[in-house]
Amino acid sequence: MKKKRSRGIEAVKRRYGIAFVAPWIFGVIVFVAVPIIYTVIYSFSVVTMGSYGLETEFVGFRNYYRLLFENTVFVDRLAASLTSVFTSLPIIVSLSLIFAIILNQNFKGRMLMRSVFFLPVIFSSGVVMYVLNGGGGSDAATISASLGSEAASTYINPIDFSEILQRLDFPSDINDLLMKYLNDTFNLIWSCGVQILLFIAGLQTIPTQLYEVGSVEGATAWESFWYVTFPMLGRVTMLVVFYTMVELFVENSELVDSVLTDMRWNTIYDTTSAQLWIYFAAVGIVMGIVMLLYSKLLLKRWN
Amino acid sequence: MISAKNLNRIRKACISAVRFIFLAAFAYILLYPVFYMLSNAFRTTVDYIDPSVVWLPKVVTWQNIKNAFIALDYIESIKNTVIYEMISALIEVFVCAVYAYGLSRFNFKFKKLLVFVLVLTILLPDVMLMLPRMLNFRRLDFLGILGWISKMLGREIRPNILGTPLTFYLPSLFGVGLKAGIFIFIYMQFFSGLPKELEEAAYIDGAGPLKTFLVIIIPSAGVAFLTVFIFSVIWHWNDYYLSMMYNMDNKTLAVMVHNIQDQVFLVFGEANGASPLIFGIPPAACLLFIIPPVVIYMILQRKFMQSIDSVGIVG
Repeated sequence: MKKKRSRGIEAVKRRYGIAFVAPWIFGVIVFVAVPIIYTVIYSFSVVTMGSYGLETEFVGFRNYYRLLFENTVFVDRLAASLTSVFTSLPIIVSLSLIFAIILNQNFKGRMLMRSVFFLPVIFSSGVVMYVLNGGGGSDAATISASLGSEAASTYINPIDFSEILQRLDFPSDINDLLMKYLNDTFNLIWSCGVQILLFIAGLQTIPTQLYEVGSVEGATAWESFWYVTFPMLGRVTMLVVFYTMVELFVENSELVDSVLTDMRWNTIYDTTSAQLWIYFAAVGIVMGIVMLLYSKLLLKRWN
Repeated sequence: MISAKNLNRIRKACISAVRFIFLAAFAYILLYPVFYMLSNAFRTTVDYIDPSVVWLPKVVTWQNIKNAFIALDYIESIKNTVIYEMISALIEVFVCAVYAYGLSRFNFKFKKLLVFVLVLTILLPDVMLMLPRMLNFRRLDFLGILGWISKMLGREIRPNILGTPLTFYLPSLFGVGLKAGIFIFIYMQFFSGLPKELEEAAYIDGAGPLKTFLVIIIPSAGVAFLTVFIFSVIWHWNDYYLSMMYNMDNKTLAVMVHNIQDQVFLVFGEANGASPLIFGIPPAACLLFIIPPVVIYMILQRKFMQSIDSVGIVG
């Protein structure tokens, strides 16, 4: 009797579960899957604006071939986009971890500091930074050129490294490299907002008993970090790495921006779709490699 | 001799000093744009040129704010942001909870596959989907069904919803709107941490799954709702790609701020001496742009930080 009833409940629950997610499945099919199929079709065709809307003519791999072998600008941009991640990713992840650990400690003004570190999330779309850096119009460049205005060329930079570096008198190429690295590092703090929150949330889930055991056994602060905090954050770190890569590849990508402009303002649909597919295939491969390395090398050792 | 107690105290003082310097340095970097905005938004034209004015303007003026207010068409833009973005932000807050509940608390066939698809939708950039979606919105259709009926009827019944708020509401409603995947994921993490007894008690009392969700789960998920609410509102407020694509006429505040220099020329014209205006209006416009989300955050901040502490959106 009891068994029968529980099976009944299970069956009802199963049906309800599907009912709960059914609209989402519909949405994914209509607003995600179908559009993806369309971009695949565009990428293999020549798209022209006809009287009945878009007209597509199948041309096989021609768009892809041209982009990869005849268009040097695209390949350069692709390479630049992909490699920049390898310098940015480690900096962002380690900086966020450091900040999260500090902000997780007990000290006066902790709440205030956490609010300050939430600012990057509030500025997330970059509209504010774009405008403050002198952007702010479709032809802002021409405007600033015609006015010769200083406002359009000022760069918001809290610390002017070029001046400091000039005094240090390094050879010019080392100077440039240092300059680039320093500027990058400072810009990257702006990409740490969500990551810091994720790490704080992760730190909160570590049971305090583990640290107590550590201190009883006479572990130093460094040891308890290396053997307790770090391994316990394994899953969160994976999430942070994943999220950061998505952000870097998609949101801050020059390539994606240029594709978007081509689509919106120049109504080019065929080669842009092909560009996006090449880009995301490459991104997929890179992310796959990073995730694989991460799980193979780090997670395994901790376990 | 320094006793062990004193040594400990010195060590603690050193640690907090280092921590203070470290945090202060980075807080300076993060607050710099805010200071910059505040400092530049209230200056007179003379003060921009005066090299002795570094941070504090000699004369504080509200003129830039007033001009930015006009250039942004502030009230109208905020209205547009609320109609297009905020409502769809709120839709996402509620709807994503429903889908996440289905995905996390029930067992059914293909559930693992669906979770995998969810991760894919998080990964997939909106850019990729924008154009085909836009073409679809021009003649709204679901899997070609409406087009097929149109052919049967011999007249066009597919509506053009481009430029209407529906372009934002529809994807949000079906859980594929702006960052909806991340929200579903956050809710899932939270729901899967709830004890099973919660629902079982409700079932025994005779409540169906829907009632259980509304009466038991939603009230106990306040923290998750708060987290998603803050992110949803802020990300929608900042969104400007989507409103650029789908919504050319009723510009939202983010779009207006993004095009502020054009806007200054449009409203004030070159003849009226737009060049000094170019100094003051952009920072003032940015200030007007970030004030609403900052105020919302300030109100919810304490609870939000506690929620990050207590639930752990990462599980």
